[in-house]
Order: sequence, then C-alpha cells, then structure tokens
Amino acid sequence: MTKMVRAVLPYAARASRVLAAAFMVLAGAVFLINAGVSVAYRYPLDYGEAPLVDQAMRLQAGERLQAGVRLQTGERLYDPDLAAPPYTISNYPPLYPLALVPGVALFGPTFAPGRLLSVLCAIATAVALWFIIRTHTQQRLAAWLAATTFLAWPYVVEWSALLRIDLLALALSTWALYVVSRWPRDRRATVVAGVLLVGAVFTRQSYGLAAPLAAFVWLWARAGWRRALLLAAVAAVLGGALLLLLVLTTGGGFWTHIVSANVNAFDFNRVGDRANEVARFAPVMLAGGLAVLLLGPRALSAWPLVVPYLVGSLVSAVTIGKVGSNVNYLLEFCAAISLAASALVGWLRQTSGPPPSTARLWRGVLGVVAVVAIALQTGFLVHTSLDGPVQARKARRATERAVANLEGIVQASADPVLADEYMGLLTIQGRSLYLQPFEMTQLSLAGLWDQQPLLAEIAQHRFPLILIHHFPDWLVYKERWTQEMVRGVLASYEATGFYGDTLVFQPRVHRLLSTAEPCPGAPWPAPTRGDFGIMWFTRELAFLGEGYEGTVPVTAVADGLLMRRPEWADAVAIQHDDPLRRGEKVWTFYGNMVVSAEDRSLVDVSFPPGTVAVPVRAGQHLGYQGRSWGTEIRWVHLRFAIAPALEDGSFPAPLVGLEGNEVPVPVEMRLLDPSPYLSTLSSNVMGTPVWLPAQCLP
Amino acid sequence: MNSQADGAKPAVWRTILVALLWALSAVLSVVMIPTTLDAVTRIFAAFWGDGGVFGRDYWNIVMIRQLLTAVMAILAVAIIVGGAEYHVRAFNTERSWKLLTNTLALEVALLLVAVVV
Repeated sequence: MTKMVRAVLPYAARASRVLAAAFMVLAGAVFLINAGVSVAYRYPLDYGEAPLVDQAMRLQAGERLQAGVRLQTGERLYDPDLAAPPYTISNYPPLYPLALVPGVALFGPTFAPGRLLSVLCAIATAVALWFIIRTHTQQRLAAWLAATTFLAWPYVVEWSALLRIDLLALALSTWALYVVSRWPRDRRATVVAGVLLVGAVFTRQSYGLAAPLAAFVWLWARAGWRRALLLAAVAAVLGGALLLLLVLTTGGGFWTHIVSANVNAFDFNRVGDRANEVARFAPVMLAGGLAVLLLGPRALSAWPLVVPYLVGSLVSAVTIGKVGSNVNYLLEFCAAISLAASALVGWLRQTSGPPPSTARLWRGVLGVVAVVAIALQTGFLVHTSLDGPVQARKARRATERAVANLEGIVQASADPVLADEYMGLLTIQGRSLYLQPFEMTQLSLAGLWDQQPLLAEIAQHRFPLILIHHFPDWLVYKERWTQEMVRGVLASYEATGFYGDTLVFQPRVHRLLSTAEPCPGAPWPAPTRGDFGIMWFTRELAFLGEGYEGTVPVTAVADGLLMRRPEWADAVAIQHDDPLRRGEKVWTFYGNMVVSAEDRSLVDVSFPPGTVAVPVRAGQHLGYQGRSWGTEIRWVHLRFAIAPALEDGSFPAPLVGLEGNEVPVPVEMRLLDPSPYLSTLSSNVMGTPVWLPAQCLP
Repeated sequence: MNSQADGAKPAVWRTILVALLWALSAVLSVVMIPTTLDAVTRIFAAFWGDGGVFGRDYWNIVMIRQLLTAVMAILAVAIIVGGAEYHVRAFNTERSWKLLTNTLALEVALLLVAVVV
C-alpha cells in the first residue's frame, strides 16, 4: 500500500496542481470581470461612495489643507459643529479621501478612479498574501492559493470594486505583515511596517487590531520583545501624534466624526446571520483555519503571525453587528482565513527531501487532499459570488436608464437636494452633499444630534427635491431616515416619480388620495394610504404605504357586504351598489394583507375565512397592508381591484385566479378601471407595472 | 511509475492502463467541449445576459461560443491524435505519465469548473 502511494503521490500532486490552477484562473477571471464592469459603471453602486467623493471634492476645492484639515472654503472635513449644515459626517480618517484627490482633480468627481484604486488594492492584498505564504512555506502553490482564495470570496468580489476605504486599509496592513514576516530582525523593516500599520489605521480605524496584533506577536516570537516593542512604539508615537494633530486642529471634530459618529446600535442577530453565512459559504476554509489553530507554533512557523491575525480579524468581524454595517467588516477575516488555510497547505506539502518517512508520506497525501479541497472551495466561493454580489450588481446596472432619468431630475433641480442611496447623482455633478441621512439618523437616535432644524427646513420646503431609496426586499429607508424625517417628508412633500427603486419627492402642490374623504368628484375615498405612490397592474392597483407590514390600515371604501372565501389567507371582497353604473352591483377586492415570510394573515379577525355577506360600513377597518411572495411588488402594499358582479351579484372568482376558465377572459374585461371611482390617475399600459403618484385629479 | 530506461519489457497491465487512460482522456476531451461552453455561457450570463435573443449580449455570447468551440475542438484533436502518438513513442516513460496526468487533470478540472459554476 505504502509503496503504491509512494509511486502515485507525485502524479496525484501534479494533478492537484492542475486542478487548483483551473479554479484559480476561474476566480481571477470572475474577480477581474466584476471589477471591470463595476469600474466602468457611471452611477453609484453603494450608499457609502458619494460621501467619500464629497470629502475628496471638498479637499480638492480647498486647494490646500490649512492646519491639517481646515479648508480654505471655510468648510471642514471634521467639523465639530454638527448643528449647522451641511449635515455630513466623515466616518473615516482622511487617508483614502486624500488618495482620491488626484483622481478628482484629473477626471472630475466620477467614481471610476476610486473604484479602480480599490481593485488595485485588492490585488495588492492578494500579492501580499502570496508573499507572506511564500516566505513562510516556500510553497508557490500554497502562495497562489492564498492569493486566489482571497479574491474568490464573495465579500471581496462585492467590495473590491466599490469606491470605499476598506481595500486600501487591508492592502496597507497585509503589506505590513509581509514586511515583518520577511525581515523580522531588520530594524528599518520594523519601522516601515509600523508606518504601514498606521497608514491602515488612518484609512479605517478598525484596522488597529488584527494586523498590529499579529505583527507584534510575530516579532516577539521571532525577533524578541525589543523588536516587538519597537513596532509598538513606532505605531504609538506616529499614530498618537497624527491623532493628536487631527483632534487639535479640528477642535475635537475628528474624534466626533471618527468615534462618536460610528457608535451605532448593535444587533447580535446580524452577527449570527453572518456567521452562518460564512460557515455555509466556506466550510473548508474554516476547517483549515481551525487546523492551523490546533497545529501550534512548533509545527507551523507562521503560527505566531497567522493565528493572532485570524483571532484579531474575527474580533473585528463581530462589529458587523452594528446597524448599517456591511460585508466590508469581513474583509480582514477573509484575508486571515485565506492565509491560514494556505499556510496549512504549505505545511502539509513540505515533504521534500529523500527519503520521505511514512508519516511525511501520508502528510503529503493530506497535502494533495487539502489542495483539492481548497480548489473546490474556491470554486464554490466563485459560484456564490456569481449567484450573489454579481447578480446584485447586474440588477443595479440594469436600472442604469432609470438612474439616468433620476440624474436628469437632479440636474434640473436647484440646491440643496436631499438623497440617500443616490447621493452620488449630486457628486458626479460636482455638487456637495447637504445631508448624509443614515449617519445623522444614527446620531439623532443616539441623542448626539438635534434634528429639529432639519425638520423645520423640510416643513418649509427648503429642499426642492428629496430622493428616498427603498430596496425591493428591505425597507432600508427605515435605517437611513428618522421616523420624524419620513413623517415630515410625507406631510410636506408628494411622491412625483419613481426611478430605480427611488422615490422622487417634491414640495406638495396636489391633493393626495385619502382614506378620510374622496377626491373631488369621486364616489369613494382610497382604501388605504399610498404614501409612496401607486403601482398600476392592468387595472389592479397596489397602494404603497409607508411602514412595516401590519402597520398601514386598510378600510372599506363604501358600505357593502363583505365576503372572505375559506381559502383566502390575505384577502377580503365587498359587494357594493355601483356608484357609477346605477342599478349594478360591483365588488371591491382587498388583497395581499399578509406577511408571507411569517405566513401571518393581516386581515381583521372580525372577518375569519368563510365569512359571507357581513355588512360593513365605509371606513370600517379591514386589515393592514402586507407583503406577499405571490406578487412583483416587494414593498408593503395593498392590492386593490374593482370587478363587476356576475349576473346573480356574486363575486367573479376568476378575478383572483380562483376558478380556471376554458377560455381565459382578458383582465381588462374582468376588471373595471378603478381611477373613476377614486378620481386618480390611470394608465393605459397593460401587462407592465406602472408607477403613478397617489394624486387626486385636478 | 517506473521508466523504461532499464530496457525491460513493459508489463501488460501498464500497456492496458495507458490505453485506458488515453481512451478516457479522448472521451473527456470531447465531453468537455459542451460543458466548457456552457460554463463560459453561464459566467457571461451572470454578468451581461439580459434573457433576450435580440440583444447585443446574446450575439456576443454566440460569437464567444463559436470561437471557443474551434479552440476546444483543436485541443480535443491534439489530445486524441497527438496524445496517442506521444504515448506510443514515449511509452511508460516519466514524461508520458506526466502528460497523461496533466491531460486528465485538466479535463477533470474543466468538468468540475463547469459543475461548480
């Protein structure tokens, strides 16, 4: 057996290398394609891009920095006075915005240079990981695995092509780790590593844990405590001096922006969800990391570097529980776990030197198995990337035309404009931000910012345009705007457009549909609120209300007899005398009053399934708006339709697909146009959802 | 695997093994053509596919598939014909076994990539 294994092992090792190479090429290709299409995309891909461009614009417009960060224009990047506009927050230290300034100066405030910088930093990180593993294991294959598994992570694929700070910080910190790995006893190298680590921390403050800890432990283990203390001293003196300088020159504003403004609420469920996700995505990598942990420093020379880095990055990753956090909190962990798993491969493959003992032979076999496993793991990570972030980005790019329309609206509008997801439409026109809604909302919730002046400005129509974004499956505006801001916008503004899942609000001039009283000339009031407008689905209307499922009430539009079929979990229908066709009967249908995710009906308990001919009064409560899987609308909404009664006055069941027809009746023959009943806008477009403002006709 | 440098007559099982492995590589070289094309198509569609047959994306992937088919076909011919000649000439040598290993590993890798993607 041993003899056969000894004979076959070199060929198996060769085959595993070819297999790994194929998956590495795949990972590299997907990473580069994604980077290319993202860099080339004109519009914002992420909420956090525009504030950074805004900061770079302000730095560039200031021409030169005075006293650190005070600008000639009078604006400050880290203004300690949050009470006065612009209500913007610079969440991060200034290194990345400074790195963006040349791009802004050369190409204008576009996103491409910053995204390209992130891509290059991701590649630089992969190269650093390559060198670290090569230095520690002398194994090229392990080094390549470290580099490519890092690039294959869906989190890296997603984040590396965004104009965000994280990849620059990661690149600086991993290069610092390489420098101390390669030259642990060289004093100059220690100083260089210290400078790189400070650079990383002054790019993103959370990089002050994992890499510095790893470098410190590694130097202590390999070059003695003096060298480790030298690194700590360099980092402490340089970092401390910079911090002091920035705090003093900004009147404490730097601290407010960097620390106070980053203390958001914490949700442990987010941590649990992400942990499950990582375990699902990358079990092999996690097993590799665990194996390295168990191997101990005697077996694995890189242990004092890799394990502290892994542990530190894990602690950093836990902060993903902060409200508003994203996958960028996991990037350092991705680098650390890639490093650990590859270090294990390198250790397993160190079987050279004749004659190999039996134990080393089996270690070699394990090495081949590990290479194949990590290669396949890389493939699954790529698959996850293609399924997840690549699809999300594709969907985002698919709205390019809609966003171009939005850009036109922003361009035609005077300042100041408020926006969230598409703040970048302001910065690409060279216009500064007036408000970063998410950051200021979090500060307001923490009691650190008084929103009253802004609310007053909203009430006074100070803003000609307000853009509020709503991801299809996620009520993101709830995190980005305080409830008071949303109420203020709804009270003083009206939704006039809908582009790329973004609602355009302009100062209110029209009378809006109301549940309290009908529009002028209409027989019926609205059945529910349409704060975010109405979707027209070939004579069916979806009223988009503001709020979570179960919070926006639905009421009867007129007196009638209510019916709820036994199989209806989410709907009721009411028979009325038709106010527009005298002598006829008509049915109003109220659907999607359900929380599909929880399989919970939101229909009023007074109307259990099987209810027949129960009298109801106009304005009587029927239930609440919900969200149903069985519809294109993923927003909280009510599905509303009006159908003519059958000859005997009964409900036309085919309306909701309850009874099959041999020859399907066209929907426009089954349903009545609801707009005359409500005196609102209607659409002639059949088969395609059309967004309409919830306005009364003049 | 031993080399034939000592001039000893190769064992029958080695001849059979080489023939079987070559035959397997020949079959896989053909099988991997459609699977690789599908994998490339899926990757392309992940980034650009719009689902329509009249768009630019559709015709781009048609062109890519045609070019790739030609390349893969040439590769298959090289593996089948060139591989056979090579393994006959260099039978039971180190380089013959290495080429067989590389060929089969590449084919399996492409199939696995297609499965994973």
